[in-house]
Amino acid sequence: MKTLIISWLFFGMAVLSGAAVAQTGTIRGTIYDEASGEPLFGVAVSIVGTQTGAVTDFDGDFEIQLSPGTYTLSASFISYNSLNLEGITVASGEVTILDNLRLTEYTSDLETVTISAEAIRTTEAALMTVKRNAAQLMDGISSAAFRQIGDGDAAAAIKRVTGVSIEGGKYVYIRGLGDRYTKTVLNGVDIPGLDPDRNSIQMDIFPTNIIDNIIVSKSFTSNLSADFTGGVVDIETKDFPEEKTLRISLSGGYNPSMHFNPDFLRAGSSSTDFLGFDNGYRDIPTKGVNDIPQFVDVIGNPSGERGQLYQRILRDFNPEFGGMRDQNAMNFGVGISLGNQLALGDNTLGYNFALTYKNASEYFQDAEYNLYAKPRDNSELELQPLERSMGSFGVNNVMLGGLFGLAYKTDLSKFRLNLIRLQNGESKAGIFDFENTNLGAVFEADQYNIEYSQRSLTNLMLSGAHYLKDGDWEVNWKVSPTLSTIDDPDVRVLRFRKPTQNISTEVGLPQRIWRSLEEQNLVGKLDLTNNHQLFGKMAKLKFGSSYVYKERDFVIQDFQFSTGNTSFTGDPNQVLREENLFSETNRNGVRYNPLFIPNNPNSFQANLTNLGWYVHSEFSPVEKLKAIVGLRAEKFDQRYTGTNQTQTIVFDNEKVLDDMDFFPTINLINSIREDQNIRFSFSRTIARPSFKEMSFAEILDPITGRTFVGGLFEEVTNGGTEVLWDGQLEATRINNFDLRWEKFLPAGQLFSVSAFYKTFDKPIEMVQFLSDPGAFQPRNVGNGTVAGLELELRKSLAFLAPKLENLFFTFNGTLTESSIQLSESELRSRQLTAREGQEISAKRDMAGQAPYILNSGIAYNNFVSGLEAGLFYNVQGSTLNYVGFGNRTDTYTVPFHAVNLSINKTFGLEERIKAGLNVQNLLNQSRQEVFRSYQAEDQIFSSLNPGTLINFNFSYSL
Amino acid sequence: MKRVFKGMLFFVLAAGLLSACGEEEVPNSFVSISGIPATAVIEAGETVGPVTANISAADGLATLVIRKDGSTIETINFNGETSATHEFSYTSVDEDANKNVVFEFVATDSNGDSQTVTHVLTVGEIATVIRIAENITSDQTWETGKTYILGDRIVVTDGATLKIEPGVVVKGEAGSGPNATALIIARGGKIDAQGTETEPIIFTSVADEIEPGMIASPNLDADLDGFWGGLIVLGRAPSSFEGDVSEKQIEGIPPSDTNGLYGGDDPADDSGIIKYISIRHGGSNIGEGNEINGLTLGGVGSTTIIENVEVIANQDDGIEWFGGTVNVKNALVWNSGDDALDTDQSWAGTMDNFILLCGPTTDHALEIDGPEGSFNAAHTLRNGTVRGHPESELGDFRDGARGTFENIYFFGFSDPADPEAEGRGDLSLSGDASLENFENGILNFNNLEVTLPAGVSLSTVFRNGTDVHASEVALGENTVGADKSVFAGWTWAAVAGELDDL
Repeated sequence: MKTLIISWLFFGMAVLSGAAVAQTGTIRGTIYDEASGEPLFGVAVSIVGTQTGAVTDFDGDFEIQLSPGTYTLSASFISYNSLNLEGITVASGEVTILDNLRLTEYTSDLETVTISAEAIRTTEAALMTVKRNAAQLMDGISSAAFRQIGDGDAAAAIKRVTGVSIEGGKYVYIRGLGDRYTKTVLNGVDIPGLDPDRNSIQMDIFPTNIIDNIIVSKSFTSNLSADFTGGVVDIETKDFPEEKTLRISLSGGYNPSMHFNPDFLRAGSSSTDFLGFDNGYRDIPTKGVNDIPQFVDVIGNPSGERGQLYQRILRDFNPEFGGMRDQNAMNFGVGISLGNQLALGDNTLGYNFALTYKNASEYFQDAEYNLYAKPRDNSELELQPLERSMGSFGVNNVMLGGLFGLAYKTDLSKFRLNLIRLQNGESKAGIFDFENTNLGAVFEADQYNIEYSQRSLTNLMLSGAHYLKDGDWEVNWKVSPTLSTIDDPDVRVLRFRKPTQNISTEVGLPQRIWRSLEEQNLVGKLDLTNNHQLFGKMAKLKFGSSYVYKERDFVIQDFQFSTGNTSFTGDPNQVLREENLFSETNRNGVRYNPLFIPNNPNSFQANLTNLGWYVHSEFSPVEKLKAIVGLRAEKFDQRYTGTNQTQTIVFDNEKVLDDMDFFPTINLINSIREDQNIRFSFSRTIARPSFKEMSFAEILDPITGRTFVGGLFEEVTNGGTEVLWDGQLEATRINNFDLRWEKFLPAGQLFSVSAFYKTFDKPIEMVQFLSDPGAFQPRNVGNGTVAGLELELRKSLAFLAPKLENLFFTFNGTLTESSIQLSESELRSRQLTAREGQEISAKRDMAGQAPYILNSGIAYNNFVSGLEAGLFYNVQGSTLNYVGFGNRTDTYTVPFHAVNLSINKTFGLEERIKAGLNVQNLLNQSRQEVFRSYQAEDQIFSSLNPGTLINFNFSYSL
Repeated sequence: MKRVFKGMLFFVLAAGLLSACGEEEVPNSFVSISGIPATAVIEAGETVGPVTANISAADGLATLVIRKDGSTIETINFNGETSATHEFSYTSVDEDANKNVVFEFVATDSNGDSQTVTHVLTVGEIATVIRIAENITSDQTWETGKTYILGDRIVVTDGATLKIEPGVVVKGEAGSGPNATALIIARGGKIDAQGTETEPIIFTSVADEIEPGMIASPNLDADLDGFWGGLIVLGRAPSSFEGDVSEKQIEGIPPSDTNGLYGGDDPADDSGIIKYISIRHGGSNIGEGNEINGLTLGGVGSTTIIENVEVIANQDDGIEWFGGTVNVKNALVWNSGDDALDTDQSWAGTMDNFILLCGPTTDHALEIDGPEGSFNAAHTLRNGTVRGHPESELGDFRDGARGTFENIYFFGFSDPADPEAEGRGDLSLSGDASLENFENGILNFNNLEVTLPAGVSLSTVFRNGTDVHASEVALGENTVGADKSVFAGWTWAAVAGELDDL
């Protein structure tokens, strides 16, 4: 925190001193090659009618100081058409930005391109240039678009990208392929996720005001890590702000069904909860105790030394088990960002600082979590309930994010230093009516839940880029350590059986859980690029190496409370009242039982190293054909330290994965016309099991009652004679084929059609244990394939009527067909529980693969009036989520038809004021997952209604 | 962060070392053994170790010989490895008592060099308390007069027999959830626990100060539960499973432990003999619907003999059957935390002569479930006396329950119609399948007797038409019920006077 304050002061002063010297105005710009989309080095830029000029650096950047006035700028470069830009206004002390100038290769019929300064306002078109010319398949969204659609965080923004959807408001799905096959990187380097169960990181932690652009690469090139299949999402933060900015923003969100609600549920909180972390209020009562006493140790002597320690620990548990009803406020957020670039002699220093704070609450009424199963009589088709819980819960989410970036540019080098710190705290309290109709236990109960989860991420990135004078060689390096932590201190669950208000093993004993995960991550990368001539055209040879080290420590400590002969009134907060607790005089009172001593199977350390080498060449073998051909090699080792429950298997830093793989890749792009490309790509990629999957962990989720079983355990049947799963979890190797035709039209219009096909060798899916259907384990299942078709369109409606030229129709849709060969055990299980008349196929859909994704919208952009508005629609087809086993059926997501509206407007002469309104879920849809079975009515697995959220934001630039 | 940087540093150093390393000429090298302590002290019957001997021999290891008092007890041959480890443990026998036992570890390399390490084990008196920390994989006997501590979830594995002599006390160490201690007789394993009327075998917790020869706990009340797991017997007899799978994981044992599987196709399977045992203060809970019962019988076959069993203060059910064909004679359950007797998955045996003493946390005296798969079989419960509690119910017959329930006497339950009782105190048939079975004579009741609270009708207590098989009697005037004499003397309930009024 101290460092932040110091940097804040330092930059405050820098801003002030910058203001004092301003007398002339500045033009800053960037020039790109229209054909390659890359910055042009050495372009002569002059101001017509003056002696003033500049030459672009390796980033294509130039800067010219001028006295106030209106000018015409001319840019010229050998073998390119010159560009004249008219009507550039320079004001005293102001910076005029021309960040999107493009030169076209020399043509005889057109010597000079003249355009007006007005026409280059939008950078969305610049991104389109990158996309048009990049050899790999990519899509993206830039900071200009964030402003346009008013999205506050990366998760909201990235939904606009073709074939991308967001699950649970946080996680990216590309082309409907699940989280396992998607990867998120920050500034080109891996950073660990905040959720241990996920491979990708949650996107909603990145506020859009620190992001320059988000690029989604759907095809692999060998300079990227090979562990993605659907796509890799690269979030690029800002480096050199074009002008001095100091922006203060305020935002609010109001949800009529959630806010100012007197029934909102919350639990006791610490004084720092509002900053996204707990100050020790939820500390484990056994903190600092090495030898935790158990009840059995002290029952005989409650007042002895151990007995007193036991009683002290018992009394240190926060007695609150049920939340309280208390009115909530609406969502609000504040943000401040500032940045500038300063000339230091011939060199340039850029800085960026952003601080974001968000505080949001959600209240879900009639939330449902159920379990249904097939009846045992196979002539009965309708599913029968095993467990049902319906109730409400309140969520308070606090997000504090800080970004600090420094960039320094000399003639031939650029250095960047980025520090990101994110702190997120989420508090939940819920009350449910629970009904169990499962075999062996029929009861109703009141269920109370309290949870708190705090996550932090600290990432430091240092990078450099160096160019040789003649531009032939380029060296890039990056070093980036990250520390991330997740703590779930004091998860509380309690059930009272109805109507007797007692607590027993039948309804489950009250539980308190402390979970903690710490992950350290170090990434180093070195890339070398050589620009040369091949077949008479510019070509590039790239090669380099990368090193990734990751280490994770994970531990769960859980306690159960036996209630002895205590009777209760049904008030959850009275269970741990003093008079109920075990003591000298109340030996059969409420007591704790630690479940994690002496052996804790839910504690492990794991680490991995991944050393990669690659080489690839970008060249044009024939006219209009560009190719990238490359090969990557990765040596991957994963090690595990942990034990099974009875400690009969002990792994001490044992190698659990040891792979050496080669990943060839071919990307071809054929410009069949000036504005049309055909692309083809083939690549081999990999999906590796996660730390948690490659473990002996056995993690019981007290809320769903499901147990996660690590992939290292085996399962046998028929008296051990038949091995259902051998405990040898392996990585999945994937072959990817892509074909795309695209047509670019003026003013950022686009039309493209793609087809893709992927084969999966032994994909990993969550499979239920045959002998215990409540336990799930990651296993390699039979081989799978995914075939898909993608369509993207962005079209101005000017063709209907010229008046509609500012109205754009956007559509992108992905249609996929996936199939997986059932494993022997799954096939048998499905046959055993088949309904009468049901045919069991040996194939099924791939879990997590959406059959279709659709994004569409109508957007209005008027740059003159500064009004932007749009209506957007997003839906993802019903997707197989959990694979059924035994009498449990498959679960599917129910399509959520999201219709969102956004309006943004700028005000004032210099457009200093921006205001926006954004309405989410206009159709008031609920998010649901269902159990689905042959000819049976779907039954709800989970159901949540997010309501309709109205967000507004206001920002002011100084 | 430190570790990451250390990792980096290590990486760089390792790379440097790799290039620096070269072959060196070494003449004759010696053998070394480390890791064996020079001395240790145990009591007779206890185990030393396991300790790990680390042996290195640059010229290649040939053999490791372990001698006890001069005579070889173990020879391990190697194939020229330059280093090896060997795990050693020794369980002392009664003859070792009050002696020093000398162990010699002799490692010899390929050219005849050897190294000897000596370990002197001082063995004290014959231990009367023996901690068991590992699975029982070969025949073992627990001896009269001794107390055995379960240090973990101890499994008698396939092929092994655990003989427990009369009067033995078995105590489970503290542990809950995955750490719950329990004694599991896995499929193919056998228990031979034949206590006697004067010397019952007692299973309890380490918190219990009971010693061999005692019946009642000197320090624990009879309602303290959940201190350890329980006794789990698993066999290969048929059971009716969901989805008609051939075997299943028993409740309370995580699916990753395959010793928890039960079920099969041998109705006459033999898991051994259990006679005169008392199981107390157990029932550690793993999760909801995942508890350890006092005595869990999963797929136990009909050759198994189970007679004279007492279960006291178990946090979950007293005795629960999951399928199987075993018959049980003379059972007493007192203060069970959930149900006293619980049957599932088409148990096909008979429970003859039982006394159920409900406690404040007892849910149902009888919880009877039907088959879970297509395999149907039924069981019989006869000659029982059930003392109720205001919080408890007589019985719940559900989920297609089948079988015969006869000559059972109930008393001491609430009036189900009393608002205070909130519906407790009845005997009901739940679900259409159970009602249908009752109608079709698959679920039968004969000669049920009850002493009702004043002013309560038979049909209020015996619901769904079962009242026609029940008759009301005055307290103690019952003509059916258990023969309590078989429980005299060896059960804590009898010693505590709980049977006096029956």
